[in-house]
Amino acid sequence: MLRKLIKYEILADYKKYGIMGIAVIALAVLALISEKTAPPYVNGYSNFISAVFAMSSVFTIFSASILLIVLSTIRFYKSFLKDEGYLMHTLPVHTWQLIASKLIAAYIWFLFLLIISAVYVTILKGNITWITDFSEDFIDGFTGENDYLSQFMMSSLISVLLTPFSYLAHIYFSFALGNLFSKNKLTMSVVMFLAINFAERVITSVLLSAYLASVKDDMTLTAMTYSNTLLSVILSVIYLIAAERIFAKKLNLE
Amino acid sequence: MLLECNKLCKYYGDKTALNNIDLQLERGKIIGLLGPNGSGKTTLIKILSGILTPSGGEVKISDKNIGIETKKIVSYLPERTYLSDWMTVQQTLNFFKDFYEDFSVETALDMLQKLDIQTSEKLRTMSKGTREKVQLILVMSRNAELYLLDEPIGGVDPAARDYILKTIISNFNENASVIISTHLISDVENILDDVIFLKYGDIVLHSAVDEIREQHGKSVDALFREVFAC
Repeated sequence: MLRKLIKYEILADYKKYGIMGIAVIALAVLALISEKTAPPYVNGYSNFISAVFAMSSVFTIFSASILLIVLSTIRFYKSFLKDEGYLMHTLPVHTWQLIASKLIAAYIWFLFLLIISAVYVTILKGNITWITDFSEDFIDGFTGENDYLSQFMMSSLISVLLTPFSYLAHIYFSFALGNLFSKNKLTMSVVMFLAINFAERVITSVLLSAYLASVKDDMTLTAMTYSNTLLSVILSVIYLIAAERIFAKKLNLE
Repeated sequence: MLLECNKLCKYYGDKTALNNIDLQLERGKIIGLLGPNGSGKTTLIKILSGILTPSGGEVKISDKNIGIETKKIVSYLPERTYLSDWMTVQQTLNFFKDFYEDFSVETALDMLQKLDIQTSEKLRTMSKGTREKVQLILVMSRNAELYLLDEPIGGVDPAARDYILKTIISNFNENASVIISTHLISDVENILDDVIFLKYGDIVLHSAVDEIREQHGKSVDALFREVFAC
């Protein structure tokens, strides 16, 4: 059943992500053509274009991540709590399967966006060697003698990969809490989102301060990244379990 | 017994939608769930379908508590469009086939053909009435034990109403029951076996249609107007 649910999640959104992917690649191709065909006598033009492209790469990847969270949130709200919820919640499937299918589908799109971002950078650079250079640097970071660098790179990578998981768990839990109110469920979901965010920051600050006081100075940054990620994972798992329990036991569709 | 509700209640804040309802329904019947706006009809149907949690009391369908097992045997038609508009009719058939073991594609295709609805058509391009017909076809193409139809004929033209009512009669087996919530009593009266009148969350009448005609000498529609006169 979970596989079937994921299939329909993907089918529901593939056109949106597909159009976005095509647009990003088209933009990269246009930018490359523009750079290659720039008149050589225009002083500094090439450098200016390169800088713009470099900035646009960062902007594209950042926008794609934001868009993923926004589209996943809209999809969850519409198919879970609005009209489509009348179908989803009457399917003979477990609530955890409904939630898991949305989370897994979001991760599939996350991977898709990472690939699109890689294609974007490849087109702008005009070659694929940056991937091997980047990979070598990355592997060197892990296997090199600099233990501090390798650990920092590893913790950063885990942190990036877990970002959608943390955000979506937080959002699902906020919607679940909003569902408990008899009126203004969407508004209350937003209020809950902000309240959880505030509470999470307070808890994280207190726990991390206490933990960091007990670690060695040269490992502080890595320890902080690891601890932050671990705490985020624990809280996200708690959010998901709580959201599942609320939707399973206290569902009240408007 | 197909359905049993004991002391079932539902509150929205301080407002009572269902007030300690006791109800037993047998198999093989078409039951009209009738009442004015805000009487609790939709609330009761939503609780039975599992999308609303009761505030108290107990509900059992085929001796099972509301959950994944009852969702396998309950076919629910809400009063709103619940299909994703990116889907074609064929994709909705695939969807129902994927999730409901009791769904018959052949039955659905037959009904779609009779109503001249193409399987390649997208729901987004359809009128509200046609989308409601597709939903009803999907719901009635299941070989369920309990059908919950919330205002099934409210949004369609009078000509299509007859076809829909015929569809309801001819597509449920003697082991199943159908609960129809509607305001259009005169349209459905002829197909009903039993009626339940709901008023402010209370059951004020639960009777066979034939008994109403014999005892009151009135149609269900006339009795409804009398009981709920403003």
